[in-house]
Amino acid sequence: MEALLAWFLLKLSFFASGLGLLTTGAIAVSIILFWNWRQAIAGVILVQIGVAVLIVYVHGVAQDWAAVQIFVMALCLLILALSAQQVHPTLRMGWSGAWLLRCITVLLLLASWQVFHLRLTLPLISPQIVQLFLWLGLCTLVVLSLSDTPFFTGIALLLWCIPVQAVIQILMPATMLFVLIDILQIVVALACSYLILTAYAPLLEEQPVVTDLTFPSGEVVMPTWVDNDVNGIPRMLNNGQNHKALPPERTTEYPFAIGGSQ
Amino acid sequence: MSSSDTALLNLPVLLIGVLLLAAAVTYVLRRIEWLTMPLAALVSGGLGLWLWNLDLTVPSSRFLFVGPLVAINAPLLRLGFTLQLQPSAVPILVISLLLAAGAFLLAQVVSQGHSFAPLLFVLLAGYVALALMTAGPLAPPLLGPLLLIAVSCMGVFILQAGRLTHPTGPLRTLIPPMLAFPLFIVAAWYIEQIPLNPQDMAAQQMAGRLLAVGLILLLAPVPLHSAQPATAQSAPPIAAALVTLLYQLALLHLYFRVINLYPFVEQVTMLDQWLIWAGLATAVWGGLAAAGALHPGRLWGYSALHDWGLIILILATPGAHNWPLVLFLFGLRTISMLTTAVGLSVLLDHAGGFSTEKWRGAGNRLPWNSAAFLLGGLGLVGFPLSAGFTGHWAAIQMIAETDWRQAALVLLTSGGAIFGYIRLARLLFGPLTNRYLPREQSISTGFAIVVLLLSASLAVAPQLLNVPINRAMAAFTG
Repeated sequence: MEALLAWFLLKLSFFASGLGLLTTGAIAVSIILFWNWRQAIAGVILVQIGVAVLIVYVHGVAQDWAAVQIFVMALCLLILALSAQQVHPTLRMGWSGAWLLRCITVLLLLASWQVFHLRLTLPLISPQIVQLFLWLGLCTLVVLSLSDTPFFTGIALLLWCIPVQAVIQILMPATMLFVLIDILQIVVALACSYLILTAYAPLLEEQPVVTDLTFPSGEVVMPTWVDNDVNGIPRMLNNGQNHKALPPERTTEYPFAIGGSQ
Repeated sequence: MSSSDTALLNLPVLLIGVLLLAAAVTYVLRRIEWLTMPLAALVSGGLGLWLWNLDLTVPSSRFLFVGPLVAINAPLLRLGFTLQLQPSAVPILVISLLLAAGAFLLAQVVSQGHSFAPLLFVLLAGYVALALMTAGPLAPPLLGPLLLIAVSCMGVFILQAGRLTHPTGPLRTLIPPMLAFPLFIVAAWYIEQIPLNPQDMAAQQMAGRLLAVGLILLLAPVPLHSAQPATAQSAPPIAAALVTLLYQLALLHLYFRVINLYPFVEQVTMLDQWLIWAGLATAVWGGLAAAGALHPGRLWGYSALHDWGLIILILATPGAHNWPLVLFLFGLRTISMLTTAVGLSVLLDHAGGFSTEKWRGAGNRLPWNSAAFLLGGLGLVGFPLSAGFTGHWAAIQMIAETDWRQAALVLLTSGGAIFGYIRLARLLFGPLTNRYLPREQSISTGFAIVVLLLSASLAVAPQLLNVPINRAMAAFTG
């Protein structure tokens, strides 16, 4: 098993090079640019692998630590992905704006990085790696600020944990704190996964027969988002002609007779 | 053989075990809320009262006065953590348990979700573990933020309560502790370096800065405040009030422990100044936003934010004399928030939503609960003759001693929040539009009258809080 792990990390040793650092940073920023749930999951696991390999090769951290981190991150992402998979027809409603807006955000981030000379000093860690961690932290903050959806908040919080785990392992390897933080990562992923389901669960309710009494109430116009236009904005196909009854639980107007939804 | 030798259980095991057992039992019986809620209140209140009356000078005591012997000071050692009852933890435990007991009773009136009781017991177990932790891989105050993440995650389930609504409020509660915890851990590394070279102040300065920023992140002032109003807008009111109060109580205790254990945080940083600005921004924004809030839930949330800003401002006051006032404000905040939550939950239940049309004239049918909502909300902004008035007045006087302009600003913005409540009162007691709005039932009227009486008695006799605050001060004295 150890030999397999060593072989796996050796094959990925590219991430411990200068180009590998840039690649990891680029993958992180691609999460913002593409803003797609599948790409985000792939991006976070790649960043985790990249950082784990980097820490193993540059700082001599135990390979077991890297394996645990990659495994836990994969588990967390699997939890998020399972929820996202269940609700993916509606998940795309949680847009962060057009891709142009996200490009401008990234450009602003790069510009401020250069203009304000954003630097961070962390003990025992080489400056190049600290710069990567700072970049990952900034990407986290951008994702948090662009989105209010449980999925991307979960992605941002997991992304935040990657450099944090690495720093803690370098600074305090004896405390075994990473185990505690790994457990918390899983708990956070579970909480976000639950919120994804509650926020986007498609409600398949039988349409009531419209009568004179029921016709005016509980009917709202729900546009159907089917595709993206050139700016990445979901395009409304039917111009709002598609009528669906919105159950009261879907609205903030509903009080708290929670009954069977638990 | 001494009594401690014959003791079968140690206290941390007992407390956490009973709470988790109660969670399991109430989960099984979760659909029988008329039974589980009073039982849960009995368990939580019984534990709280037992701890309140516990004599810590004797090595063992009978559990709940009649049960088996319990070794009071015995530690629980697991996975590198030590849990042990310290005298300073008792007030925090008692307040948390009694708050939960109160919430269980109030939830008897309007359901807060079938899983409210079991999840709240698990949440309480988390807070009990946090209060009892005396040793760990790092100093307990530095591990506090990590445990706050865990309890925030549990809080998410209570706040969302299985409802298929957008979870903005619960989601945002996760962010401050997640952002803050790395700062505490890196600070721990710098603190370890201080004894190696006592002449070098760099490590102390760095640790102080990291802890100060971490504490401010955890306090979630403006612009990190958004969880509070969003939660008040969408979560079941009693659950929202309880989860917020428990978190903020644990946070105040953590703040005290950090400042007490590492006094250099205040010396090497501008923490006082940062807190003044953060508290001022929070109080001002809370008041202004409340003035513009049409949504009753958001109005409540912003009023609570204004009150929280005042507490942060008092934390910035140098010296030890600010803690009694902080606790006094927190006690009044607790009463006001629960009073508001009772009224709001019944109003929501009857009106069937938050829209203006549904609320217009509701006060004519639900006068006691409308009064509870309005009086509790006004207490949060320090309106005269409300529960919060004395605390706010004392706080504003203390702030004015340092800078009268800050006090004036807080006073003005509290006027904005009062304006919001006056507008809502006009709506509630205006002409009734929904003729089918049911009248309030006797049980909800009874609870509303009880909380109104509690608020009114604290408004006219705030010294009623002296005894609890003096006991609670044990947790906030070095």
